[in-house]
Amino acid sequence: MLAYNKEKLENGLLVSEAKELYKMKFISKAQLAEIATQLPLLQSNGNLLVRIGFFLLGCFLFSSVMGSIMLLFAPLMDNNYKAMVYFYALIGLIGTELLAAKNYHKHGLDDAFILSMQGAFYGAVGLSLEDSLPVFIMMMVVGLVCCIRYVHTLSALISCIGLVGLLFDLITEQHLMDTMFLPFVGFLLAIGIYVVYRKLHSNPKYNLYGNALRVTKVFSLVLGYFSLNYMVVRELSQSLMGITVAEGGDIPLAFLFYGFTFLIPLFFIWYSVYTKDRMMLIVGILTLGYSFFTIRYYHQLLPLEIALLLGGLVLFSVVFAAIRVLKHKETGVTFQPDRSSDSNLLVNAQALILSTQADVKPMAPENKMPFGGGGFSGGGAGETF
Amino acid sequence: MEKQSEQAIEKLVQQGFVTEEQHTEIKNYTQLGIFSLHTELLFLLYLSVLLFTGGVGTLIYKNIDSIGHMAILAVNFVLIAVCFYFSFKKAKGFSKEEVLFENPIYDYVVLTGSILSCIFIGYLQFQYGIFGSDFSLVSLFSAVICFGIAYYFDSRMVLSMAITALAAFVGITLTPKTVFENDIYSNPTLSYYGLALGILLILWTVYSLHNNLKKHFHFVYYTFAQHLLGISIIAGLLEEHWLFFVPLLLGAVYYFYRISYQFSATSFFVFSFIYGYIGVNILLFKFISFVDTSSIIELIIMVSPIYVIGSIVLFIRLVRNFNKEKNARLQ
Repeated sequence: MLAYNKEKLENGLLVSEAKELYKMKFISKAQLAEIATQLPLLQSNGNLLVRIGFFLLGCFLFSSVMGSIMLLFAPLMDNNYKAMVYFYALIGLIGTELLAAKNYHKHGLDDAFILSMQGAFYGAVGLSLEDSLPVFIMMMVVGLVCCIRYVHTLSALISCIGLVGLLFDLITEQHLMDTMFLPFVGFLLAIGIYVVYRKLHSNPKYNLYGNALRVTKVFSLVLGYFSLNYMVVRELSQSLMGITVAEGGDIPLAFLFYGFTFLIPLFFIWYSVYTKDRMMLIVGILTLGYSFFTIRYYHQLLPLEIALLLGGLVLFSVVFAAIRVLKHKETGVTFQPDRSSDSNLLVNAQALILSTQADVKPMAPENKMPFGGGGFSGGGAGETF
Repeated sequence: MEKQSEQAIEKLVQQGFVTEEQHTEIKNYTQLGIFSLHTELLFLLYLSVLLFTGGVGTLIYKNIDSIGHMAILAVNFVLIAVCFYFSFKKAKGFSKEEVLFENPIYDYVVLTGSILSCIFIGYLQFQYGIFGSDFSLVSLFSAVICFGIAYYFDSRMVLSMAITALAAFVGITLTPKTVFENDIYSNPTLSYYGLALGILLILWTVYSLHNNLKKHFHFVYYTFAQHLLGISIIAGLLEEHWLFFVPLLLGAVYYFYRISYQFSATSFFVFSFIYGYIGVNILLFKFISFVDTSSIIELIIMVSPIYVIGSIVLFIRLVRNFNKEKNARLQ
């Protein structure tokens, strides 16, 4: 089933662990170099920018191949453009297999072909059957197969999206059950995915799929939050169930969804600090930001500028207090930099992000746009970073 | 630590890459159960500064012409004073080397003070026209102040504000959002200004590196210079006098290629070739449209995969050399 040499894949894991150890200054540069040169490896790009570059080149290649084939076969195809899309998917498959045989893994080129193949295939299924249900089924199945065969992380995400899409389609289009249950079914599904993640994660047999499993976990957390988020529920019940919310009225069980909108992120943050799970912590912070956005979207208790000011002050005091508490702790949860953390990286990143946020351009008199509010148009969109 | 990495470390020990003593050291460290929130908390702090200053900016401009605006302005001034009072008190003074605050919170206090100062200057110009009718002078003045703050307090965040303000002074909006939608594409003279500013930034960085003046600022300077030059040259290639920009394109790609080797910095490497590849493709299109190829357009589409494969092979080779060099330095 695996398209790559298993030993080489596992060596890749060892090298990335060694890199981590080097960053934490446990092993010397010479040791890392020895590990990286002595173990036989696949062709990979560790650097994300390089990988994205090759991904773009791979997409160019796929589309230029599509273009020339279109020209070659156009006279033969007449009206069979649907078959053509299947043919593109086949080209994607051939390209993917060729790259796998040449040991390209996490390289960018292989990502381009795996994703293009799947895109073409789902497009072909959708075009020929003109229904979304089979597309979701195919996403779920083919995504999973690609994830397993090519050890491809993003395919795991596609598979999860297929699963959720399938369920959504079954309930809203095929009327498997009352639409009212949709939020709760979504939440249960999220718990189900999380349980599967925990099962597979603790089994060393699936170490190779560590990244895919991490993506699955984040997906389950995000799904769990959004299935009970007040804004999502309200907007969906308006568009799917035809509920109209009158002035001063609210959707059924509104208090429940308000509660979950805040309880779930707070639970994520508490549980992640408790179990030292960084990924969950980040999801928790981001979803909490979205919760504030949700509230402000429906209840503009304060004008935007006051909300921003107060939000900034409250956040500052919370963080300030947290830093004071954690500053001198030497074990457990702490503010001391990690052994592996690269402070240079953080400072450079913040410096560059700032150029997107702070607006230093002067304001011309006729322009009534608020000065300095560049990054914050849209009511608290700046809650998330 | 995750179970997975423990197993990987054990394998590394078994294969003799990691010594037993190192393994014990790692185990001891793991037992401390350290979970550092350093990065996360600093990022939240940063976010709070952006929220707060965004609020102040909006508040001031919404209340222009109303009775309370003098009061708000006074409060703003007091806030600036408070920020810089604490910053100066805690700062270790100017040094050519890297100096850090003992508590990283003060970096963000400096940032708050700087953003508020820019708002203050902008407002003074808006209300009282202190720089006459030339609005770009406000940017220049903000840039000068921010450069001063950045060098005194050693703040790369304020430095990036200063460079952005300087770009605004010559009329270029410099944010990632504006790479594809920029005034520069419709206003040809801007690309010459951009070129001049980019080259100026490079010269200043080279000078600083030579004289040990805040050497660690080079990454921010070079990043801005690279994108400024990249955008300006691409815009220039799309214009009438595009021939002038061809040697500049080659020069910029080569220069940042060398820089990426010098600092083992992958981002300079990648972006120099992204801009280079875009530029080369623009020239190629120019050539194709020049020789009027409507008769052989099909042939061109047919051979395009070969062209793409050729460029992929070339890039793979370039990346391999770059990584080889980088790894060689590790040893």
